Amino acid sequence: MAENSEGVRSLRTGCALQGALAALSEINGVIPIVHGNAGCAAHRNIACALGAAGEGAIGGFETPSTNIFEKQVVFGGGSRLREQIKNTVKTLNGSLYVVLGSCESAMVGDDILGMAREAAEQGAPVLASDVAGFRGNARDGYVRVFKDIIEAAPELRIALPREAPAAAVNIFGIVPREDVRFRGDLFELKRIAEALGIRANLFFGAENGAEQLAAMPAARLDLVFSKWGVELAERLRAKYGIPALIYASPPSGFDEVAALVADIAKALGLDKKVSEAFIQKEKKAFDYFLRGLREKLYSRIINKSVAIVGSEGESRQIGGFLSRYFGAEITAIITDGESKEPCADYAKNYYCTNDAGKIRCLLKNAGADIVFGSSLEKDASIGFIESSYPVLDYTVLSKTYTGTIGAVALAEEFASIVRLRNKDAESKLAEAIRENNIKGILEDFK
Amino acid sequence: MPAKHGKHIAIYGKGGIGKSTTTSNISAALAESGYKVIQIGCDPKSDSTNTLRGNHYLPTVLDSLRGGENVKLDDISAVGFKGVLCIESGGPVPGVGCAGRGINAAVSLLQELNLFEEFKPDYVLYDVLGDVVCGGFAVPIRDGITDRAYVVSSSDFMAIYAANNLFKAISKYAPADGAKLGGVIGNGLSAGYSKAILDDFALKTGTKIAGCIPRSLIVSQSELYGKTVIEAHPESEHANIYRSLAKYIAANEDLVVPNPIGQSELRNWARNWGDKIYSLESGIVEFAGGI
Repeated sequence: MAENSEGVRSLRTGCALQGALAALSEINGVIPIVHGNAGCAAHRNIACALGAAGEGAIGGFETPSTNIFEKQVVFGGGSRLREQIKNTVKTLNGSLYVVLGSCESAMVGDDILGMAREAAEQGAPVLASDVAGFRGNARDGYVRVFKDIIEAAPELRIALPREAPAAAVNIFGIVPREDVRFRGDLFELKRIAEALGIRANLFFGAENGAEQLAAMPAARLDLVFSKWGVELAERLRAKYGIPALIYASPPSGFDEVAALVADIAKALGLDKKVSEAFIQKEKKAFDYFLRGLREKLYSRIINKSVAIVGSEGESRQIGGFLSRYFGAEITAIITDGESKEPCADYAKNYYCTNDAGKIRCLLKNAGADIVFGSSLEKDASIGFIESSYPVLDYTVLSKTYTGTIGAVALAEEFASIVRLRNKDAESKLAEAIRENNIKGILEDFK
Repeated sequence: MPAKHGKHIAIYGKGGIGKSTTTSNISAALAESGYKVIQIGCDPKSDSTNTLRGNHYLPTVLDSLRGGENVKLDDISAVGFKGVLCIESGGPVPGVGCAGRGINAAVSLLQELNLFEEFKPDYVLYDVLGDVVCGGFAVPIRDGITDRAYVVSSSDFMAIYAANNLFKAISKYAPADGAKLGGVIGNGLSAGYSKAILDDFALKTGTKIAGCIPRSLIVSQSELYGKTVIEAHPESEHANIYRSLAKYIAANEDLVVPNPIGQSELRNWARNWGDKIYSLESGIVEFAGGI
């Protein structure tokens, strides 16, 4: 691989269509219909199979697709799409069907909105989103499809649960599959919200996400956890007057959770007793677990040089926690476009690129003790943690670095990899313990 | 490769400028001289070859793609005046699909059907919708299809604008072995200054005028009869004009890469001509260019 490549190699993100498809595939009750060639629907699933994520409500190779050919490109694919919508609604039971346009349908000018409207007029809950691959990357696709859902939300005709709690928040900015720990992140955020007596519209996950989409305009607050949710919150503010709390990354660590809880309590006028009781409980748990890092180990893991390759949100979350709690010196390599926020508060150096050749060079120059990155950066000769998309050698189910629980998991993982890299001292201690050599054990504590 | 069988010539021009009439008359004149000619209409309107075959219905190449059946050359071609093989690429109905991709698909299909190997033409004329609105309409001038293009233009600004756009496309593709320009064909020139405008445009862009066809009732009448001028009025002066144009095109090997004029320069050039024409009409002659 060229060390100084100008072109982008080993591209780490999909196109807008793939991002939208990944998002919809994680929403229970939503059926995506791809209007494109067979590869448009299939490639995303191949990419996801390689990555950490599994399948949502509908996904994999069962994704409905018009599988258009040259004939539809030349003469237009409207009638093929009409047929596909009709058959999908007939055979797959969903609360909402979303037609996703592709590069071909956009270039040919197929009227996907008209086709969706036609089906909707006949009573089927169908809407369309123009997420032609060339309109952006996978994160753009997440934003686009949600924007279209926001526009259509009042007409979705989805039955809402009868017992909707008074306060509900929408959670945006955590992008399914692109953010590999999205499930764990969302569950931790839901845990925090529920502790405050708030229902969280996560959209993704085991609950009926389609219902949550329909309930979205009735939420009292939007919580945004990366730059990829800002536009959605702005739209909801303009359309329904929903206020928003915007963060550049999900919180990681006790202080960050406490700040989030205080912000939410203030925005929603919650009972202070409830929020403060929760904050105290979290502090106890956080301190309890972190005390497990005995003094000697703590001295070994502080002030490390750490490089992070990932989205702006991931870099800030991991880098922010490690710099604040362990004094790590951070080099951030941001892969999802130009950084919107200054990074100087947590990173000594930061760069924005998704070129694998350049990233390799930057990592070489950074000479970090520990690297967090995707499988594309994996290097057996350094301390390496697979933390960003694509993750090829690691299974991520409930893992998260978010909240207090997630921060402890991050500390745990970080300490483990440092110990693994510090074999000499660690193996001496392990040997002393195995041989019951008290002198040797005490030596380690000196 | 198709280019090995005969000369492949693309004829472009703004919609309605008289490309099909001119191309059909060139085909008729070449066929009359004993050459084997194919004329391929590359326009979704699919009416390029009407006057060569008496306005009869001809299924288009893309109709066969739409139908999905196993297509044969006989199904999509008709033998017209003096043996000219007539083919229409066809395209989608207006407002849907992609006509540009249609032309691309139709040309590919004709190559797959071994049209040129089987018919062994001396000349293949592609009559192409000339505004070069997207890459699909530039397919005939890319490597491996034609090696020369002509543009039909009047002295109207929009026709010249379209010709200039074609020059842009040619200068882009020519370095990659795309077609070069054979010349400009003046059509429907009525006013006294029309030819002077066209001459000046050719001079500015480093191109040549291949021939000029004056406006005439004979052309319109022949078209209404569903015939070319060569067939309907073989003895007319106009038939001879088309014959000499065909002869020029058949023999011409002086192909150039044109120098298209920049957007604002083209507008300034047009404005200057506007001033000159006004002075001419009002009797104030300061400088009358090539008149």
